[in-house]
Amino acid sequence: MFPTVAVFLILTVAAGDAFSHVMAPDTVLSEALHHPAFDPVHAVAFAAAGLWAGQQDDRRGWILLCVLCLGVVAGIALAKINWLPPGRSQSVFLGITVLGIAIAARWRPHLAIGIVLVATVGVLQGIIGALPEFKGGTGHHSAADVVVAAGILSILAQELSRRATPAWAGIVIRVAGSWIAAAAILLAAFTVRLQFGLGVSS
Amino acid sequence: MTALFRTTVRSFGLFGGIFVLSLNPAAAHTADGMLGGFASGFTHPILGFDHLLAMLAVGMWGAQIGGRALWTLPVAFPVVMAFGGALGILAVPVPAVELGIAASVVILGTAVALAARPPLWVGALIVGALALFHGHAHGTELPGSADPLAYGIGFVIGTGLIHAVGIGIGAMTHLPRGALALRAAGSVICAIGLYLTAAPLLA
Repeated sequence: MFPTVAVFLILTVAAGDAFSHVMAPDTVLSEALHHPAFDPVHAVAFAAAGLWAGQQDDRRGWILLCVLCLGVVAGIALAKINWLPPGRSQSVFLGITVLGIAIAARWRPHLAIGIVLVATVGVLQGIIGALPEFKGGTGHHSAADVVVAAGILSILAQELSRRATPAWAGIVIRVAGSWIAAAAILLAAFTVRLQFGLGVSS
Repeated sequence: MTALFRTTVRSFGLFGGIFVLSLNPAAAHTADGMLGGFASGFTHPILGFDHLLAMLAVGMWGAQIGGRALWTLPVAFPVVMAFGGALGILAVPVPAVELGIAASVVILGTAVALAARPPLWVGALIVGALALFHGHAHGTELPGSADPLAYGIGFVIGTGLIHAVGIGIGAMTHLPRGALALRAAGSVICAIGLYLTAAPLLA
Protein backbone atom coordinates (compact mmCIF):
# COMPACT_ATOMS: atom_id res chain seq x y z
CA MET A 1 0.00 0.00 0.00
CA PHE A 2 2.77 2.44 0.89
CA PRO A 3 4.29 2.71 -2.60
CA THR A 4 0.91 3.39 -4.15
CA VAL A 5 0.02 6.01 -1.59
CA ALA A 6 3.38 7.67 -1.97
CA VAL A 7 3.24 7.64 -5.78
CA PHE A 8 -0.19 9.12 -5.60
CA LEU A 9 0.95 11.81 -3.21
CA ILE A 10 3.73 12.79 -5.58
CA LEU A 11 1.26 13.24 -8.40
CA THR A 12 -1.11 15.15 -6.12
CA VAL A 13 1.67 17.46 -5.03
CA ALA A 14 2.18 18.21 -8.71
CA ALA A 15 -1.07 20.12 -8.48
CA GLY A 16 0.31 22.17 -5.60
CA ASP A 17 -0.92 25.41 -7.11
CA ALA A 18 -4.43 24.35 -6.09
CA PHE A 19 -3.46 25.05 -2.51
CA SER A 20 -1.48 28.19 -3.13
CA HIS A 21 -4.45 30.33 -4.00
CA VAL A 22 -5.83 30.13 -0.47
CA MET A 23 -2.59 31.51 0.90
CA ALA A 24 -1.56 35.15 0.83
CA PRO A 25 0.63 35.70 -2.21
CA ASP A 26 3.60 37.00 -0.27
CA THR A 27 3.93 34.26 2.33
CA VAL A 28 6.87 31.93 2.53
CA LEU A 29 4.52 29.01 1.97
CA SER A 30 3.15 30.53 -1.19
CA GLU A 31 6.69 31.09 -2.46
CA ALA A 32 7.65 27.53 -1.61
CA LEU A 33 4.65 26.18 -3.47
CA HIS A 34 5.95 27.85 -6.61
CA HIS A 35 9.21 25.97 -6.26
CA PRO A 36 9.98 23.79 -9.28
CA ALA A 37 9.17 20.67 -7.26
CA PHE A 38 5.58 21.81 -7.01
CA ASP A 39 5.21 23.22 -10.48
CA PRO A 40 2.83 20.77 -12.19
CA VAL A 41 4.74 20.57 -15.45
CA HIS A 42 8.10 19.95 -13.77
CA ALA A 43 6.80 17.64 -11.07
CA VAL A 44 4.81 15.42 -13.41
CA ALA A 45 7.70 15.16 -15.86
CA PHE A 46 10.25 14.26 -13.19
CA ALA A 47 7.90 11.87 -11.42
CA ALA A 48 7.01 10.21 -14.73
CA ALA A 49 10.68 9.76 -15.57
CA GLY A 50 11.22 8.22 -12.16
CA LEU A 51 8.23 5.89 -12.46
CA TRP A 52 9.44 4.70 -15.84
CA ALA A 53 12.99 4.25 -14.60
CA GLY A 54 11.61 2.15 -11.77
CA GLN A 55 10.04 -0.19 -14.31
CA GLN A 56 13.46 -0.87 -15.85
CA ASP A 57 16.12 -3.01 -14.22
CA ASP A 58 18.19 -1.50 -11.44
CA ARG A 59 21.28 -0.40 -13.41
CA ARG A 60 19.30 0.92 -16.34
CA GLY A 61 17.01 2.93 -14.11
CA TRP A 62 19.84 4.74 -12.39
CA ILE A 63 21.49 5.50 -15.72
CA LEU A 64 18.26 7.07 -16.96
CA LEU A 65 17.94 9.24 -13.86
CA CYS A 66 21.51 10.45 -14.20
CA VAL A 67 20.81 11.29 -17.83
CA LEU A 68 17.66 13.16 -16.76
CA CYS A 69 19.56 15.38 -14.34
CA LEU A 70 22.36 15.99 -16.83
CA GLY A 71 19.74 16.82 -19.42
CA VAL A 72 18.20 19.40 -17.10
CA VAL A 73 21.61 20.97 -16.57
CA ALA A 74 22.19 21.03 -20.32
CA GLY A 75 18.79 22.59 -20.90
CA ILE A 76 19.47 25.34 -18.40
CA ALA A 77 22.80 26.04 -20.05
CA LEU A 78 21.15 26.22 -23.47
CA ALA A 79 18.54 28.63 -22.16
CA LYS A 80 21.24 30.84 -20.66
CA ILE A 81 22.95 31.18 -24.03
CA ASN A 82 19.54 31.89 -25.52
CA TRP A 83 19.32 28.72 -27.57
CA LEU A 84 15.58 28.23 -27.47
CA PRO A 85 14.20 25.59 -29.81
CA PRO A 86 10.95 26.37 -31.60
CA GLY A 87 7.89 24.51 -30.44
CA ARG A 88 9.37 23.95 -27.00
CA SER A 89 6.00 24.31 -25.27
CA GLN A 90 4.48 21.51 -27.31
CA SER A 91 7.63 19.43 -27.09
CA VAL A 92 7.55 19.58 -23.29
CA PHE A 93 4.10 18.04 -23.20
CA LEU A 94 4.86 15.55 -25.97
CA GLY A 95 7.84 14.31 -23.99
CA ILE A 96 5.62 13.81 -20.94
CA THR A 97 3.10 12.03 -23.18
CA VAL A 98 5.69 9.56 -24.40
CA LEU A 99 6.80 8.90 -20.83
CA GLY A 100 3.20 8.34 -19.75
CA ILE A 101 2.58 5.86 -22.56
CA ALA A 102 5.88 4.14 -21.77
CA ILE A 103 4.77 3.73 -18.15
CA ALA A 104 1.32 2.45 -19.16
CA ALA A 105 2.84 -0.04 -21.57
CA ARG A 106 5.72 -0.89 -19.19
CA TRP A 107 8.00 -0.30 -22.15
CA ARG A 108 11.55 -1.59 -21.79
CA PRO A 109 13.41 -0.42 -24.90
CA HIS A 110 17.07 -0.56 -25.72
CA LEU A 111 19.07 1.58 -23.30
CA ALA A 112 20.08 4.00 -26.06
CA ILE A 113 16.45 4.74 -26.86
CA GLY A 114 15.68 5.28 -23.21
CA ILE A 115 18.63 7.64 -22.85
CA VAL A 116 17.52 9.70 -25.84
CA LEU A 117 13.97 9.97 -24.52
CA VAL A 118 14.92 10.91 -20.98
CA ALA A 119 17.65 13.28 -22.14
CA THR A 120 15.17 15.06 -24.38
CA VAL A 121 12.69 15.42 -21.53
CA GLY A 122 15.44 16.67 -19.23
CA VAL A 123 16.76 19.25 -21.71
CA LEU A 124 13.28 20.62 -22.34
CA GLN A 125 12.51 20.81 -18.63
CA GLY A 126 15.79 22.58 -18.07
CA ILE A 127 15.03 25.11 -20.79
CA ILE A 128 11.59 25.96 -19.43
CA GLY A 129 12.94 25.96 -15.87
CA ALA A 130 15.34 28.74 -16.79
CA LEU A 131 12.71 30.88 -18.46
CA PRO A 132 10.41 33.10 -16.38
CA GLU A 133 7.71 33.01 -19.06
CA PHE A 134 6.38 29.64 -17.93
CA LYS A 135 3.69 29.06 -15.33
CA GLY A 136 4.83 29.00 -11.74
CA GLY A 137 7.40 31.68 -12.26
CA THR A 138 10.20 29.25 -11.60
CA GLY A 139 12.51 31.44 -13.62
CA HIS A 140 13.06 33.68 -10.65
CA HIS A 141 14.42 30.77 -8.62
CA SER A 142 17.96 29.54 -9.08
CA ALA A 143 18.50 27.05 -11.87
CA ALA A 144 19.90 24.69 -9.25
CA ASP A 145 16.39 24.42 -7.80
CA VAL A 146 15.21 22.74 -10.98
CA VAL A 147 18.10 20.27 -10.99
CA VAL A 148 17.54 19.42 -7.34
CA ALA A 149 13.81 18.98 -7.95
CA ALA A 150 14.60 16.69 -10.89
CA GLY A 151 16.89 14.57 -8.81
CA ILE A 152 14.73 14.26 -5.72
CA LEU A 153 11.39 13.70 -7.43
CA SER A 154 12.69 11.24 -10.00
CA ILE A 155 14.65 9.20 -7.47
CA LEU A 156 11.70 9.08 -5.10
CA ALA A 157 9.36 8.01 -7.89
CA GLN A 158 11.83 5.39 -9.11
CA GLU A 159 12.20 3.84 -5.69
CA LEU A 160 8.47 3.76 -5.17
CA SER A 161 7.89 2.22 -8.59
CA ARG A 162 10.58 -0.38 -7.98
CA ARG A 163 9.20 -1.30 -4.57
CA ALA A 164 5.63 -1.60 -5.88
CA THR A 165 5.79 -5.36 -5.56
CA PRO A 166 2.06 -6.11 -5.15
CA ALA A 167 0.40 -6.69 -8.50
CA TRP A 168 -2.19 -4.02 -7.84
CA ALA A 169 0.47 -1.39 -7.18
CA GLY A 170 2.00 -2.08 -10.57
CA ILE A 171 -1.43 -1.71 -12.15
CA VAL A 172 -1.95 1.63 -10.40
CA ILE A 173 1.34 2.89 -11.79
CA ARG A 174 0.41 1.83 -15.31
CA VAL A 175 -2.98 3.50 -14.99
CA ALA A 176 -1.28 6.63 -13.65
CA GLY A 177 0.94 6.56 -16.73
CA SER A 178 -2.07 6.57 -19.01
CA TRP A 179 -3.55 9.50 -17.10
CA ILE A 180 -0.26 11.40 -17.34
CA ALA A 181 -0.12 10.78 -21.09
CA ALA A 182 -3.73 11.80 -21.61
CA ALA A 183 -3.39 15.06 -19.68
CA ALA A 184 -0.16 15.90 -21.50
CA ILE A 185 -1.72 15.28 -24.93
CA LEU A 186 -4.50 17.71 -24.14
CA LEU A 187 -2.10 20.36 -22.92
CA ALA A 188 0.17 19.95 -25.94
CA ALA A 189 -2.82 20.60 -28.17
CA PHE A 190 -3.80 23.57 -26.06
CA THR A 191 -0.37 25.17 -26.42
CA VAL A 192 -0.54 24.64 -30.18
CA ARG A 193 -3.90 26.38 -30.19
CA LEU A 194 -2.54 29.29 -28.19
CA GLN A 195 0.62 29.64 -30.19
CA PHE A 196 -0.86 29.38 -33.65
CA GLY A 197 -4.34 30.66 -32.98
CA LEU A 198 -5.89 27.50 -34.36
CA GLY A 199 -9.56 27.06 -33.69
CA VAL A 200 -9.96 30.56 -32.37
CA SER A 201 -12.91 32.27 -33.93
CA SER A 202 -12.22 35.69 -35.39
CA MET B 1 -13.13 -13.37 -7.69
CA THR B 2 -9.73 -13.65 -9.27
CA ALA B 3 -6.75 -12.15 -7.54
CA LEU B 4 -6.15 -9.80 -10.44
CA PHE B 5 -9.73 -8.57 -10.26
CA ARG B 6 -9.47 -7.93 -6.56
CA THR B 7 -6.18 -6.15 -6.93
CA THR B 8 -7.39 -3.95 -9.76
CA VAL B 9 -10.54 -2.95 -7.91
CA ARG B 10 -8.48 -2.15 -4.83
CA SER B 11 -6.01 -0.14 -6.81
CA PHE B 12 -8.61 1.94 -8.56
CA GLY B 13 -10.52 2.44 -5.35
CA LEU B 14 -7.44 3.41 -3.40
CA PHE B 15 -6.22 5.77 -6.07
CA GLY B 16 -9.55 7.46 -6.40
CA GLY B 17 -10.30 7.56 -2.71
CA ILE B 18 -7.00 9.08 -1.71
CA PHE B 19 -7.23 11.66 -4.42
CA VAL B 20 -10.73 12.71 -3.40
CA LEU B 21 -9.68 12.94 0.24
CA SER B 22 -6.67 15.05 -0.69
CA LEU B 23 -8.81 17.76 -2.22
CA ASN B 24 -9.01 20.82 -0.03
CA PRO B 25 -12.67 21.81 0.38
CA ALA B 26 -11.63 25.14 1.85
CA ALA B 27 -10.29 26.08 -1.53
CA ALA B 28 -13.65 25.53 -3.15
CA HIS B 29 -14.87 28.97 -2.20
CA THR B 30 -14.41 30.18 -5.72
CA ALA B 31 -14.74 28.61 -9.12
CA ASP B 32 -11.77 30.58 -10.38
CA GLY B 33 -8.21 29.41 -10.75
CA MET B 34 -6.81 25.92 -10.69
CA LEU B 35 -9.32 24.34 -8.36
CA GLY B 36 -12.23 25.71 -10.34
CA GLY B 37 -10.72 24.43 -13.54
CA PHE B 38 -10.09 21.03 -11.98
CA ALA B 39 -13.65 20.82 -10.63
CA SER B 40 -15.05 21.79 -14.00
CA GLY B 41 -13.02 19.15 -15.78
CA PHE B 42 -13.68 16.51 -13.15
CA THR B 43 -17.43 16.92 -13.27
CA HIS B 44 -17.73 17.23 -17.04
CA PRO B 45 -17.71 13.48 -17.79
CA ILE B 46 -19.86 12.81 -14.72
CA LEU B 47 -22.59 15.29 -15.52
CA GLY B 48 -22.86 14.19 -19.15
CA PHE B 49 -25.23 11.20 -19.05
CA ASP B 50 -24.04 9.77 -22.34
CA HIS B 51 -20.38 10.12 -21.30
CA LEU B 52 -21.14 8.58 -17.93
CA LEU B 53 -22.91 5.53 -19.37
CA ALA B 54 -20.23 4.82 -21.96
CA MET B 55 -17.39 5.03 -19.47
CA LEU B 56 -19.25 2.89 -16.96
CA ALA B 57 -19.76 0.34 -19.73
CA VAL B 58 -16.02 0.32 -20.50
CA GLY B 59 -15.27 -0.63 -16.91
CA MET B 60 -18.09 -3.17 -16.84
CA TRP B 61 -16.97 -4.76 -20.10
CA GLY B 62 -13.38 -4.99 -18.90
CA ALA B 63 -14.52 -6.67 -15.70
CA GLN B 64 -16.74 -9.02 -17.68
CA ILE B 65 -13.94 -10.09 -20.03
CA GLY B 66 -11.53 -10.36 -17.13
CA GLY B 67 -7.81 -10.96 -17.22
CA ARG B 68 -5.72 -8.18 -18.69
CA ALA B 69 -8.80 -6.52 -20.18
CA LEU B 70 -9.72 -5.47 -16.65
CA TRP B 71 -7.18 -2.67 -16.75
CA THR B 72 -6.16 -2.55 -20.45
CA LEU B 73 -9.47 -1.09 -21.58
CA PRO B 74 -9.48 1.66 -18.90
CA VAL B 75 -5.89 2.46 -19.85
CA ALA B 76 -6.60 2.63 -23.60
CA PHE B 77 -9.70 4.78 -23.26
CA PRO B 78 -8.18 7.94 -21.69
CA VAL B 79 -5.15 7.95 -23.98
CA VAL B 80 -7.18 7.75 -27.18
CA MET B 81 -9.77 10.07 -25.68
CA ALA B 82 -7.01 12.61 -25.22
CA PHE B 83 -6.19 12.43 -28.92
CA GLY B 84 -9.82 13.13 -29.64
CA GLY B 85 -9.64 15.96 -27.16
CA ALA B 86 -6.66 17.38 -28.98
CA LEU B 87 -8.68 17.42 -32.18
CA GLY B 88 -11.45 19.25 -30.34
CA ILE B 89 -9.07 21.81 -28.91
CA LEU B 90 -7.64 22.48 -32.35
CA ALA B 91 -11.17 22.71 -33.77
CA VAL B 92 -10.48 19.88 -36.19
CA PRO B 93 -13.95 18.78 -37.20
CA VAL B 94 -14.95 15.22 -36.45
CA PRO B 95 -18.20 14.28 -38.13
CA ALA B 96 -21.22 13.33 -36.09
CA VAL B 97 -19.58 13.57 -32.68
CA GLU B 98 -22.85 13.48 -30.75
CA LEU B 99 -24.07 10.56 -32.85
CA GLY B 100 -20.78 8.80 -32.24
CA ILE B 101 -21.10 9.29 -28.49
CA ALA B 102 -24.65 7.96 -28.53
CA ALA B 103 -23.54 5.04 -30.69
CA SER B 104 -20.74 4.30 -28.25
CA VAL B 105 -23.33 3.83 -25.52
CA VAL B 106 -25.21 1.40 -27.79
CA ILE B 107 -22.11 -0.54 -28.83
CA LEU B 108 -20.61 -0.83 -25.37
CA GLY B 109 -23.97 -1.66 -23.80
CA THR B 110 -24.47 -4.36 -26.44
CA ALA B 111 -21.01 -5.76 -25.76
CA VAL B 112 -21.85 -6.10 -22.06
CA ALA B 113 -25.33 -7.49 -22.80
CA LEU B 114 -23.92 -10.15 -25.10
CA ALA B 115 -20.93 -10.78 -22.80
CA ALA B 116 -18.73 -10.36 -25.86
CA ARG B 117 -15.20 -11.66 -25.39
CA PRO B 118 -13.18 -10.60 -28.41
CA PRO B 119 -9.38 -10.76 -28.53
CA LEU B 120 -7.83 -8.12 -26.30
CA TRP B 121 -6.56 -6.05 -29.20
CA VAL B 122 -10.02 -5.98 -30.78
CA GLY B 123 -11.60 -4.82 -27.55
CA ALA B 124 -8.98 -2.12 -27.13
CA LEU B 125 -9.52 -1.04 -30.73
CA ILE B 126 -13.27 -0.74 -30.26
CA VAL B 127 -12.89 1.18 -27.01
CA GLY B 128 -10.27 3.44 -28.52
CA ALA B 129 -12.34 4.24 -31.59
CA LEU B 130 -15.30 5.20 -29.45
CA ALA B 131 -13.13 7.18 -27.04
CA LEU B 132 -12.22 9.51 -29.89
CA PHE B 133 -15.72 10.93 -30.01
CA HIS B 134 -15.87 11.47 -26.26
CA GLY B 135 -12.51 13.15 -26.27
CA HIS B 136 -13.49 15.52 -29.05
CA ALA B 137 -16.58 16.62 -27.13
CA HIS B 138 -14.51 17.26 -23.99
CA GLY B 139 -11.74 18.96 -25.92
CA THR B 140 -14.00 21.62 -27.37
CA GLU B 141 -14.73 22.77 -23.80
CA LEU B 142 -11.16 22.88 -22.51
CA PRO B 143 -10.02 26.18 -24.00
CA GLY B 144 -12.88 28.03 -22.32
CA SER B 145 -12.18 26.71 -18.84
CA ALA B 146 -10.79 28.67 -15.91
CA ASP B 147 -7.49 26.78 -15.91
CA PRO B 148 -6.86 24.46 -18.87
CA LEU B 149 -4.11 22.55 -17.07
CA ALA B 150 -6.34 21.75 -14.14
CA TYR B 151 -9.34 21.10 -16.42
CA GLY B 152 -7.37 18.57 -18.45
CA ILE B 153 -6.09 16.79 -15.34
CA GLY B 154 -9.56 16.90 -13.80
CA PHE B 155 -11.45 15.31 -16.64
CA VAL B 156 -8.82 12.63 -17.23
CA ILE B 157 -9.01 11.65 -13.56
CA GLY B 158 -12.82 11.88 -13.58
CA THR B 159 -12.91 9.52 -16.54
CA GLY B 160 -10.63 7.06 -14.82
CA LEU B 161 -12.69 7.05 -11.65
CA ILE B 162 -15.88 6.39 -13.63
CA HIS B 163 -14.10 3.40 -15.18
CA ALA B 164 -13.31 2.26 -11.64
CA VAL B 165 -16.98 2.45 -10.69
CA GLY B 166 -17.81 0.46 -13.81
CA ILE B 167 -15.29 -2.19 -12.81
CA GLY B 168 -16.90 -2.29 -9.39
CA ILE B 169 -20.32 -2.81 -10.98
CA GLY B 170 -18.78 -5.46 -13.21
CA ALA B 171 -17.72 -7.30 -10.06
CA MET B 172 -21.26 -8.64 -9.86
CA THR B 173 -20.35 -11.09 -12.60
CA HIS B 174 -18.76 -13.21 -9.87
CA LEU B 175 -21.94 -13.31 -7.77
CA PRO B 176 -24.74 -15.86 -8.11
CA ARG B 177 -26.89 -14.73 -11.05
CA GLY B 178 -24.49 -11.80 -11.21
CA ALA B 179 -23.47 -12.52 -14.76
CA LEU B 180 -27.11 -12.35 -15.81
CA ALA B 181 -27.65 -9.12 -13.87
CA LEU B 182 -24.62 -7.58 -15.52
CA ARG B 183 -25.87 -8.51 -18.97
CA ALA B 184 -29.24 -7.03 -18.05
CA ALA B 185 -27.51 -3.81 -17.05
CA GLY B 186 -25.76 -3.84 -20.40
CA SER B 187 -29.11 -4.19 -22.10
CA VAL B 188 -30.43 -1.17 -20.24
CA ILE B 189 -27.39 0.85 -21.27
CA CYS B 190 -27.89 -0.25 -24.86
CA ALA B 191 -31.56 0.74 -24.76
CA ILE B 192 -30.72 4.18 -23.38
CA GLY B 193 -28.12 4.53 -26.09
CA LEU B 194 -30.69 3.71 -28.76
CA TYR B 195 -32.95 6.36 -27.31
CA LEU B 196 -30.14 8.92 -27.29
CA THR B 197 -29.35 8.03 -30.89
CA ALA B 198 -32.94 8.21 -32.09
CA ALA B 199 -34.10 11.21 -30.07
CA PRO B 200 -32.49 13.90 -32.25
CA LEU B 201 -33.87 12.22 -35.34
CA LEU B 202 -37.39 12.10 -33.93
CA ALA B 203 -37.36 15.63 -32.56
